Amino acid sequence: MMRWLDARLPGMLLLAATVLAGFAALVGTWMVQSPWSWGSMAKAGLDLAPWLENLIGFLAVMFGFLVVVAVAIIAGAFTHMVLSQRAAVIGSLLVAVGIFGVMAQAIGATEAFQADGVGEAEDFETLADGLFTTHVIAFEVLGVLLTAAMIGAMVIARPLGSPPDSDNYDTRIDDEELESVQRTSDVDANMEGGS
Amino acid sequence: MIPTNVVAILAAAVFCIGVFGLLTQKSALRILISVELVLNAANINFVAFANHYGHADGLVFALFVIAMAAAEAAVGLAIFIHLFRHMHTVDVTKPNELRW
Repeated sequence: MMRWLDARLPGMLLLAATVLAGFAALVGTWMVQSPWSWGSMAKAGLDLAPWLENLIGFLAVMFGFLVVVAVAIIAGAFTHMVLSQRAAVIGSLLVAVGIFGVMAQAIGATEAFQADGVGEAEDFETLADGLFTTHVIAFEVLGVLLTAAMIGAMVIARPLGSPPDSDNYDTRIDDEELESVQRTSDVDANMEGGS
Repeated sequence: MIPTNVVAILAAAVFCIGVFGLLTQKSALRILISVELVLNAANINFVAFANHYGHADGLVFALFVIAMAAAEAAVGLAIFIHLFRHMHTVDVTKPNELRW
């Protein structure tokens, strides 16, 4: 019992903190937006006794806290259980649907976007103007980024034990093999020559 | 014309499908596809709000995002090639050390 707890404690703490932060955000959003929040009550003219308001608030916070603790325990248990594959899929589905629900509610509640758009942006002159005058610095930085990414991809995807930094690999090769590497640049030949 | 909030909800759906794929998939290629879904959800939003406000800046930034996604895919695929040469798999749960 304690051994797996020791081994997995950092990961479980991280997971629990993540889940806790996510659910705190969800509960906070719900408390602000729900029709039973205090702002809505005051707007509706519903003047409850102060002790009742405190009780409702206490129960809401306790409910959120219990949900957070339960989910953290279940999620922590799933990290070492065999059935974690199906559980992870279900949990991920819940997370995705939850995010979509919050986003869809927020989008639906924004009245400014219910109407049709202005729809003048498909003018190519405006597009070219924005690309080559207003955002030209970003355009050039993007060119540098693409060049760097291309060079980086070539360096990373190079065959194993290629000449420039063959010392970084475990597969050390001597000069004679290095020449054969340069001649053939065959991956399997490098593997055999190194090991 | 399509109202902006419908397009925004479409973008949210694409984003959530991408997040679901990121959380569940083990193959590195599928994870890369999920990242592309997330980035393209942002693209849909850029284009939709560019049309909503009549500004071309959103379209320009959509182009930037496409180029950045291309760079990210190139580097990601290079890393996966490297990973496959060492581990003979692209299952991201298999490698457990960064020292290759």
